[in-house]
Amino acid sequence: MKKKVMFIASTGGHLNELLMLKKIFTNYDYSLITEYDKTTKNLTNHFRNVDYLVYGTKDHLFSYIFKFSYNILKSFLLFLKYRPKVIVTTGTHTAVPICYIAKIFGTKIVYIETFANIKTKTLAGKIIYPIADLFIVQWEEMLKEYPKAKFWGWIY
Amino acid sequence: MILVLCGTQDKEFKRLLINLEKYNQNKKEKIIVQAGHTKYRSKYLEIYDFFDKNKLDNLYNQANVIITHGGVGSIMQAIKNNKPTIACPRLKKYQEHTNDHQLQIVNEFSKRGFIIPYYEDDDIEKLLQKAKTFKSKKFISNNEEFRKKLIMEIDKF
Repeated sequence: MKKKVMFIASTGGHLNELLMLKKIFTNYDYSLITEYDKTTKNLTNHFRNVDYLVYGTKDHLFSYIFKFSYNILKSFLLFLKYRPKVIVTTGTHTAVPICYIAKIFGTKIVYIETFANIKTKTLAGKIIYPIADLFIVQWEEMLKEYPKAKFWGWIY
Repeated sequence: MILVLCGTQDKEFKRLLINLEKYNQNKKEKIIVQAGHTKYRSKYLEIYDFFDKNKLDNLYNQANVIITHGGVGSIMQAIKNNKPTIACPRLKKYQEHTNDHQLQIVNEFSKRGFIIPYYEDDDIEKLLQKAKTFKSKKFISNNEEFRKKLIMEIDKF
């Protein structure tokens, strides 16, 4: 029986990075979670077990509060639906609720800090670092920010 | 054909398009723009909002030069396609992005010889001239190594 692994990322660059791992998806009983928008709606044609959270960013704070609350609820439902043994995420905020929810149930969390940040932490990275079972950085300088992380070089 | 990429984030990047419009007023070159959430119209630029993956891949293929915002995905695709790439970082001070990490990326990639940086006060005409003879450093992928390590680690769980 294949291990249940959930791959999750925000739309845009983070999803782009996550999809650099697509060749390994079929090694697992995988699910793919991202935010719904014009660029992601066709993912269902290429991958199985695709599910969506609502798109939102902290720049539109008022609506974000509602969207984030909805995403917390949906994340919980997605966790119950897929029951992943491992979550692999390239961030960012989209993945925070489900990582915390899943951690409570014993899921292992693998966080890959984005290639885009060479010197500074992402907010999601800071939040998930304490609960990550494996935290990966792509730039060596980032080890200064995340001492327990592993430096694996570029995902590209 | 010059392909211009503004990225997919919900922040505008009019500054780049205004400069390109000024450049192309007399030149009348074919410039195709993926403007994303940037609302701009120009008779000197062919502006679209989003392309699906296949269309975008074709455009990268057909382009002679790529001018991109400092987004990693756009830059990486340009480098992998072996096209001379000019990268213009979105700047926090103009509300083009939430922070200046694109500046870090453009600096780093430029230092490593992968792209031509397009900073605020640079002249795009001069950069496009430079692009004609620019030989990008060869990109060597780390993806397979990365995947192997990840498979090993997931196996341990």
